[in-house]
Amino acid sequence: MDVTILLVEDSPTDAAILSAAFDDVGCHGPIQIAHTGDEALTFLKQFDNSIQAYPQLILLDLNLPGKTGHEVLEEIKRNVIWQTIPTIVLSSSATPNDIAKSYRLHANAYITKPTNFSDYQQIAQKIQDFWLKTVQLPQNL
Amino acid sequence: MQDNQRADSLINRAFQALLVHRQTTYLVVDRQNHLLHICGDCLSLIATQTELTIGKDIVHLLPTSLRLPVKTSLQQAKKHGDAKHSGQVTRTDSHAYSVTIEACLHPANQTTEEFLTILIEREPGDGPFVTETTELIEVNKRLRAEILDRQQAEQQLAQKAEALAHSNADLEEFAYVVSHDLQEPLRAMTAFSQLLSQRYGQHLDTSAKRYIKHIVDGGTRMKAMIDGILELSRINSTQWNNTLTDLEQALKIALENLKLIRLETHATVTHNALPGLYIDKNHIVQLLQNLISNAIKFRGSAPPHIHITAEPQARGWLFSVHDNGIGIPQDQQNRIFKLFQRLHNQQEQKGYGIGLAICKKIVEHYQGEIWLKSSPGEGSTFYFTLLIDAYQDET
Repeated sequence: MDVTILLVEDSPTDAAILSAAFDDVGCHGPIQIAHTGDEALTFLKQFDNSIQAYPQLILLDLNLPGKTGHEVLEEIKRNVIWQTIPTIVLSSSATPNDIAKSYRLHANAYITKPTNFSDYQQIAQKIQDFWLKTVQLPQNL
Repeated sequence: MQDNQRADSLINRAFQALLVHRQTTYLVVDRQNHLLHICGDCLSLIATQTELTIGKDIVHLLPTSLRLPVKTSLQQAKKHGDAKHSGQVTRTDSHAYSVTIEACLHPANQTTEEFLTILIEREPGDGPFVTETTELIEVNKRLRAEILDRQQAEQQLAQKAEALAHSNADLEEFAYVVSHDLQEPLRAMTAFSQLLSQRYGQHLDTSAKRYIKHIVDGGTRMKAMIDGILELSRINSTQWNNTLTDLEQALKIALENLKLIRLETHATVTHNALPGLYIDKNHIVQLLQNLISNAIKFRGSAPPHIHITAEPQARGWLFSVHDNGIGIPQDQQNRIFKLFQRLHNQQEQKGYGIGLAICKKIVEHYQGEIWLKSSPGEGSTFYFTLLIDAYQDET
């Protein structure tokens, strides 16, 4: 089954909140959760020699055990194929440095994690409306 | 012969001691005023090296102020056998003292040719020269000790600055950890409580729903406090970009940011002329905004009226923000600049006790102070100083 979203998130709570939010807004495409950066990269590698389509969207937390979110982002954006997958940083940090560094590493967007569930729902709705329904993505995905 | 030599050197030393004691310089010259011998230059009048000066005209070897009296004395001594004059000597530290000059002609005899002696003696009552020298040495010693002390203090200061930079870096690190790690469990609490009420609301009774609301409210407050800590710690770590900022412009931005609450409460904000200062625009906007927003938040029954003034001081500027709000009792005024100190319970007033702590940080960054005058029912006036010069038009 094709995976729509790859969510790189070490916190099961945050992953569950986001999954529930996507569920609520009617985005039922499968979400694959990777708990570490390495897990995410291994997951992406398996598509390289497969007929399966790559995920349409990567949601990336910055504060990860092992490889940091920024390091994972750098590796994704260095790979000629992976770099075409829209990668959105989703972090608790609203630190200007974290934001600037993410965009320098070619993140497609940066979203600060909210606290309220209703805000999560809004974000899920907007991501779905824009990244999964509005934009045209390259063919190789 | 040896006895003679010993006697000569003894007499020589005794003569030197006498010259030192009497603060006297004793010189021997020939009829052409050429220096033949320096018996003792205890007033340091002949500046250059002895071997270089023997044979030179004595008049030119002496300080300018002594040249004329010495020359006259020598001329008169050649005619009359002896002569006496007085003169002034200016020391290197520009202190002057008086001297008497005695020239004496010694005619030729079997052993020596004709020669003249010049005795330059410091006048008594002009202060003991020797004592002053010892005093100078003492002062020098003290100065050296002081320099050493200062060097040590500077070193300590540098070490402290380094330690402070370290602790600031630690604090930034701490703030970062707080922003990430504390917020995750907080989100879990808040979001899942809301999810619970959304998805299972129909199975819950009113008190269960009320409990959930308390959890969510608590989470929201905690989130605001964490954000406040972050904001406060970021004030130290962010770049301060001091540019020419028109404070009237800054006030406009602050008022624009507060538009909603101003309209809701029918607040009016007036001000006297505000200066243009070299200051970080974002921080001065925040400073004004926090003070105005507090003034509106703690309003009385009448619509809030806030007036802002600025006046130049000997150094920097004094600002005031006056309101017609509820006022603050004297005994609580010191507390309000501390983090999380709130004077009202949450039902009465919204606020987390962060705004004024941030104001204090901003003011202190510009070596200023912040304080207030207030009494309950009579409004409050917040004062703050910024030690920055007003912008001088350079064009």
